[in-house]
Amino acid sequence: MTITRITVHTLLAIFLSSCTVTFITGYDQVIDSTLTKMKSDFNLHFIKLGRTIQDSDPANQKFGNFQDYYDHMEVDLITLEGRARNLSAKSAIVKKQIHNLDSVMHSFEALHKASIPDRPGDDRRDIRNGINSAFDAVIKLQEELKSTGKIKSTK
Amino acid sequence: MGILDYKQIVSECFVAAKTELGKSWKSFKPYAEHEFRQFAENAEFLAHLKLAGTIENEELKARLEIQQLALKNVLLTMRGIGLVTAQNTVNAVLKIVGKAVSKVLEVALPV
Repeated sequence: MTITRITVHTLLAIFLSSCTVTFITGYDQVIDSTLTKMKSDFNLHFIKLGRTIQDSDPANQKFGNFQDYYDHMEVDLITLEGRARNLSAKSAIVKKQIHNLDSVMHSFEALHKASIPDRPGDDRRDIRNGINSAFDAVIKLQEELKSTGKIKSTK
Repeated sequence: MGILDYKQIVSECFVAAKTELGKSWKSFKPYAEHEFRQFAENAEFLAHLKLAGTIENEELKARLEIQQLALKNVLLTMRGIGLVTAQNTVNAVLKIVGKAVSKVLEVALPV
């Protein structure tokens, strides 16, 4: 009887000490590094594009002049989608974020394809800010997820 | 076998929860403030362009769509941070309770 009680208590203690709950996952090193690279590439692209829409040459901002950037962007988006697809079921938030980011970047591409004319006073800062926010959001959550589980002792 | 000091356990759990929530709020607040201010500024900029007749409805719609999708990602991050905080808090509490129980039982556990 005593042995059984001790065994039950020991098992309970083992269970409590080793038990951890997981509400959310989704950290992926490749996603994290690809996002950082994509954000840097986007900002470099936007600086170059921004220069062409603030001058008097109406042709230098044509989509074709920037095709190389969009090709690389497409490759990076494929990488992100591929990695996100393999994340666990508890990574639904990260998956949605990657999907949204894909939509943001394709909306931007479509906007450029439809032409971005020279326009003094309109530096398209809303586009730059919005896309950076979309990147930062996913990067921030990746940072939070990366450090999850590192519980510091309160004593 | 010793006795569980519930008062001490509750006190430690409270400190752990407060620490986790505090850490999360410290990270969450400046991020949320910055992003919401940014979206308000972007909306104001677009409204100004539209009112001045600089951009047409179609372009406004396309540029607002980018804002909308970006905001969705920001809100998803906030939701994610909330879940991470809850997860860390529950795990910190479980760790404290597990340690207390194993101490009372005087068994060495892989904590």
